[in-house]
Amino acid sequence: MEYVEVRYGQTRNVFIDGVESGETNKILRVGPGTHSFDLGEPKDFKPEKVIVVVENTDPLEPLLIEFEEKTS
Amino acid sequence: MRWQWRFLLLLPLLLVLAACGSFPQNPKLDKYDAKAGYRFDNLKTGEKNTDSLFVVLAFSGGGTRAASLSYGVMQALRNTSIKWKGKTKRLLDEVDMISSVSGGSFTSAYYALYRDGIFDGTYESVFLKKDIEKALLSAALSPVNWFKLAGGSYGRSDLAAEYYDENVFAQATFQKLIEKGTRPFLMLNATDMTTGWQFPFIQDQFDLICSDLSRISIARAVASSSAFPGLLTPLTYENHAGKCNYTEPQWVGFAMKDRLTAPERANLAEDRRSYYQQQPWEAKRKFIHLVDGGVADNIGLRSILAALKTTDPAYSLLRRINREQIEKLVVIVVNAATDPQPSRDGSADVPSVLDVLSTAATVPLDNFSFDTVNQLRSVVKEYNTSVALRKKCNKILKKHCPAAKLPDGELYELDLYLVQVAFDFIKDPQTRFKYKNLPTTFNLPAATVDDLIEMGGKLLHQDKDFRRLTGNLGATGG
Repeated sequence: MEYVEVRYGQTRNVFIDGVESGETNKILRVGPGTHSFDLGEPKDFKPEKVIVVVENTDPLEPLLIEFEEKTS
Repeated sequence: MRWQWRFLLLLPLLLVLAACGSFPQNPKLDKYDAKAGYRFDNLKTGEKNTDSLFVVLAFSGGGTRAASLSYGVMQALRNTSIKWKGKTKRLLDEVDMISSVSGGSFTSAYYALYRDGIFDGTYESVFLKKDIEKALLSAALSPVNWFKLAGGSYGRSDLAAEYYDENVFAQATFQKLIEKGTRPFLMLNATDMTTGWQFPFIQDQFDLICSDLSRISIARAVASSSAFPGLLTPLTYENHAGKCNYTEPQWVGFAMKDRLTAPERANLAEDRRSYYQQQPWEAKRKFIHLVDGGVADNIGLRSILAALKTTDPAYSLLRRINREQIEKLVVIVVNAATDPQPSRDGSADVPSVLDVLSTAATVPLDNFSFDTVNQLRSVVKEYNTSVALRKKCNKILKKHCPAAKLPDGELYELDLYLVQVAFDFIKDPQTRFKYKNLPTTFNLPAATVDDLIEMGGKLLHQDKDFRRLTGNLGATGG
């Protein structure tokens, strides 16, 4: 089991591999391997998505993925 | 010359019968629709069920022995009254998912189809206490069926499927389960002979071969799940892949790159693609041949494990846990595995070929089942220790550096219960020996069936985690 925290300025749904799988700013459990992370609709954040290999994490040191608000 | 005339007159009839001797076609799926068909997400929780208390059952193989033991557990769950979220209900009402193989698939399918009707005595008379082997033998000996069996793609399991269809499952198809509309979600597992992977009878799997599960009979799925190699024949399904505009989920493409970081995930992705994305140099898979689910996993637990460990399966539990939908997760494993004591060690003779083959076929399965349960135990432990570790660190920080806090967000804590019903847990050694030496057959004496039903309930209530669960839920009865 691997651990990931997706950080964003506010609470949003987190989509893992295109499927709603949790919320921002909480530690999420995922299986090891390559995953895509994004915040779904509206697409008002950047980067558009993060594709990353999740491995060697633990509950004390989850992988941190950060999104920020997209300024128009 | 008279017999020749008779033969000529009978010839058209014989040809018609022989033509019947091919496997029933599994219907093509006209258009892939990820939101239609028999899928976990398409079933509502139902009036009495909640997501917050999530109960999963896994039923093993083992012929009538397994079917009876799992039936005993169902009865005990029905008789256990609990209080959850201010409502009094039966623990059985909270069952969300049943994954089963072989003998266990008869009980799970019958329950999914008839719900409380399973307890009215009919199931016991049409299956548990019926000499199914005799019935199947009579069908095989009927001259009409000889012609069917002479067809290359029609085997003894097809005949068994017809028998179950007529006599146990009343010709119900998966459409009937869709129409029921509520949980539990049934996963009848067979094994794909070519890949060696589990082949669950759910639409997410049938999408891969562009076939419409809703029009397939439950009896045929159960027959596939229980097609014990050697005694029964594999069942054939046509692979319609490439004809329904199937779109694979995102994780499959990613998983193909994960050979080193997540080999199990990569293998699963490769297995899925073997149905619809074959390379020119690979053998064509126009048809799929399914055998007993026990060949891939004799306790029906692999699908559940995957659902707990990854967000990949459509029915992923990990996803629901991340979304904080599940407060208490209960996994009840009903394992009817035996350990018959052979007489071979009483003699210096070289064991027979049959004995050696039977050992080679069953011992690896038993070892694999043992490993699977251990894997589940490790997953449960990891869920618990991950939260405990963070709590412990926060406690130390608070003590030595009160202003500090772990830098990351919270990790969701859920209450997990792993309940095991298996003959290994029978306390009295002589009774344990008796149960562990029961044969794998579809014909057990009625008294043995009754004993197994009773033992199912007894072992459930004896389990430490089950007692913890019922204690926490203010349970009565059982």
